[in-house]
Amino acid sequence: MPITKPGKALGKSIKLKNVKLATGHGKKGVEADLNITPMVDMLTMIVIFLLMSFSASGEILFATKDIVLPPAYHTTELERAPVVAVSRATIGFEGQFVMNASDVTEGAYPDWKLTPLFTYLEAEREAWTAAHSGEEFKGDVIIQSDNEVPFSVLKLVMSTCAKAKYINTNFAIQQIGKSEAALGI
Amino acid sequence: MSGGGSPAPSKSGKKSVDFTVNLIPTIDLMSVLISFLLITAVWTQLARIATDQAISQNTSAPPQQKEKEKNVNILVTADEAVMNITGDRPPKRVPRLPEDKYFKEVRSALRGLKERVPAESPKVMLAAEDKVQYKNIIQIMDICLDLGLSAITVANPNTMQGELL
Repeated sequence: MPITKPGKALGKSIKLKNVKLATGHGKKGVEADLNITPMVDMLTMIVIFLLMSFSASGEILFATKDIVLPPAYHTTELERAPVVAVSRATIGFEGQFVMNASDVTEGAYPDWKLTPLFTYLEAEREAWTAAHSGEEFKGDVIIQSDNEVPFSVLKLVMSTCAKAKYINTNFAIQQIGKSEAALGI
Repeated sequence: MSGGGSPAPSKSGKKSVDFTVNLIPTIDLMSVLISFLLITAVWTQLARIATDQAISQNTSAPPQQKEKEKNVNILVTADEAVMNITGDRPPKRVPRLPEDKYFKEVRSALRGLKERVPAESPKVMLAAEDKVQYKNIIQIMDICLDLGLSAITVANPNTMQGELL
């Protein structure tokens, strides 16, 4: 191979004349194309993920810090119904304070009817009946209870609901995967 | 950038076949959607377990009906879970063990009872003692549902004590 005089070079292997050819007259272009296809792909993936995890049931129940729902695997989707919230300290109805849970004992309510809660439930049933004349009252109620509430309180709440003709009891729970659930498998 | 939908004429005067789709409106739409979905996202999946109830203090089925129906009865106490099929004696007792073992034993006992009940989907009458926590009742319900015992009724503990203890 004959020995030749090296020309001007940009690096070790890129000759400057090749760069000149690529940029036209040797001037650097001020416009640069940004490849936005990966960005659109990423945005699409995020939108799909968020749409799949979208749930409207959050509007039925409002999570509060003093109510930790128990986890369960076998569940049904929430439907709109009056919500009785039972924490260790209070009992509420549709977001309103009704009574202190510490007052709820079998001795204080020997007829198993929590009068303050019964008043709210009855008013709700009457309002529903007035708004849906001719329709049969289904008696659905959702009990949103903290996982450490004793059954002594729950049974009085359920009994009160039954006395107010709310006989279809739905227990609010936090849905978990099968592997996390305590199913004894 | 990638804007401009019309093809640029080439030097030779012929229209180029290359076509660039304007992606800017798509990105705008995606950004709005992501913002909306992030704001309205619910990260805890809330659901329900539907039950009937026969817990009212005065609730008691007539004795004839009680004899006809073969239910799976469960009474959860602080120390054990007691269960049987209506009328069967003695009831099956599962003592309170560490959680994993306890639930395995409860599941095994319930499966045995389910196989002995003639009805395809027998009714489960579930009650608990006063001190038992809500989460324990839900866990037993979850096992029942997993075994196909979907007709759960929360019963009066006094009635169940008479049946099981």
